[in-house]
Amino acid sequence: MDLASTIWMILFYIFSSIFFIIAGVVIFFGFKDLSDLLSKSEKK
Amino acid sequence: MNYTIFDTFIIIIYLGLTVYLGLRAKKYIENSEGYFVAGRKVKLALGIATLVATEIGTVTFMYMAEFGFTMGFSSFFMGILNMIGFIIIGYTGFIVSGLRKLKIMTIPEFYEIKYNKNVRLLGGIVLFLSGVLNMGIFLKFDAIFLSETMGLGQNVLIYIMIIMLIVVVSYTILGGMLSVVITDFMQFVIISVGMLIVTIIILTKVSFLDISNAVNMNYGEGGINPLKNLKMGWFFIGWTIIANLATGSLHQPIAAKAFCSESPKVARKVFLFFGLTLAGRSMVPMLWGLAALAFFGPSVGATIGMPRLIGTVVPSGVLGIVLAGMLAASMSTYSAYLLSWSSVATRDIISPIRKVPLSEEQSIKVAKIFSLLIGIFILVFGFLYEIPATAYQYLVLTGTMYASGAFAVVAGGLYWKKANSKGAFSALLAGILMPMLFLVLEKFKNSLPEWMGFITDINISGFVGMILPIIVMVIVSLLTQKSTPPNDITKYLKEE
Repeated sequence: MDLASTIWMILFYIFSSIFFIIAGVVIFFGFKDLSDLLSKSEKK
Repeated sequence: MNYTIFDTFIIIIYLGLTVYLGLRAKKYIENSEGYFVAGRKVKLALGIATLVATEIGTVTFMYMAEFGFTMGFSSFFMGILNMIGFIIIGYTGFIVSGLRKLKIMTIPEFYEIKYNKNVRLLGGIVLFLSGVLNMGIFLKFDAIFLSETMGLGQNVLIYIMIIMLIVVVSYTILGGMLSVVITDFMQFVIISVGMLIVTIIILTKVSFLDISNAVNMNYGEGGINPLKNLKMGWFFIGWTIIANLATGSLHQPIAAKAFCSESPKVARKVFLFFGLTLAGRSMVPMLWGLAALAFFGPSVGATIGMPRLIGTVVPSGVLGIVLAGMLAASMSTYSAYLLSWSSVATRDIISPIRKVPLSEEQSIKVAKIFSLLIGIFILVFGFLYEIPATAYQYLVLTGTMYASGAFAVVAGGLYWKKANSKGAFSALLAGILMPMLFLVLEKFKNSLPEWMGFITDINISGFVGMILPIIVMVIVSLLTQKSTPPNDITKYLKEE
């Protein structure tokens, strides 16, 4: 594989990993945020 | 095709669960702040999830994959440009912090605070029309995606899309922003898992070496170097950078997430982390498009290549989860967009033209009616309109129609003391000029004189469209300082 393609491949792995790592962290903490939001929201 | 009845079963369970959760949010809604901005109580992780879910729909996967298929590795560069724009916004708080401090619910509300009611009305109309036009092609791409992955005919699809719209419109109408936030989070989980699974499966079937060979064979240097790509180049790069800053901070469905945040500081962080995800979330579907090019060859077509690849390589069962993820992505986008454009129509078009302001209850009712009307419009428009150039460029161009004028008007209003209402009004009109000229003249480009050819170049048209309102804003404001003195809004911008 040529050098330019290799660089794009490395960039793909770096940025897609960042996306999936942030997604994992967001899912982990998001459940708590969601339950906080619902408990703070006024009920009819 | 690997699609089976088992996949349909997974999708039905998912749709049922979404409707149930979305409708449950109804019991929490009490006033318009609750309906339009979820009571401004959204914290960081939830804010990131809802923003990512809003900005990923099936149409996003489709146009990103199409972009990858047609531009080669050069398309990845666009993902990096997207990321840079949002990181700048998140790091500096550019525009979003100022707007969040003002505690507004829609962008045009700012126009009335800084300028006057007429600017708000014009801004509201431009925003509403461009936003709905922008959303108009979503269904068409969803239809293509589903037809290719499920192996169903177009006749069945229209019914599927109608069912999907009914589901989204109903929970958006009943639950407002809170139901959008709840379902967005659920959809974010499914989208993320689905994206990971599809990427792993595709990379086991198509190697990077296969992709590299396909790119070199079909696009040569243009497929690797974005500056050598005939469909990209400097105008495209310039347009993308400014358009990202503008749409990133001013696109109502995105800005609405800043307005929901519990503080301006949280709003900034949401944008910063969202920005960090952007390059990856762009590159993943672009890679799927590139893999489709390598797997099928160029003859399959840029638009249907990616969904056909997924329908071919992803096994049954997993395909159901992936399709549920795609439907999740679409529904979160539709619901957020429906709520945004109906909020703008209600608060910035209907309210300003009435002598008596709408009550909280009335404004929620009117917003619900607009949600329904927009839903019907996108169903009809999506199946009738033929898209010029690539879907990505159509979406950015219709975004430019609103964002270019709004960028000059809002950035000018927040950061330039001499910005006045006449400058703002002129800038909003200038903003719609180039995109409208393009959308109309593109249909007659073969009969246009040669010197007008630049207008039908989507990249030049987009770039000029972004710059023109800024120039108009500065010139008109400076020329009318005495007759129309600018309003001072610094007292509204104190930190919470």
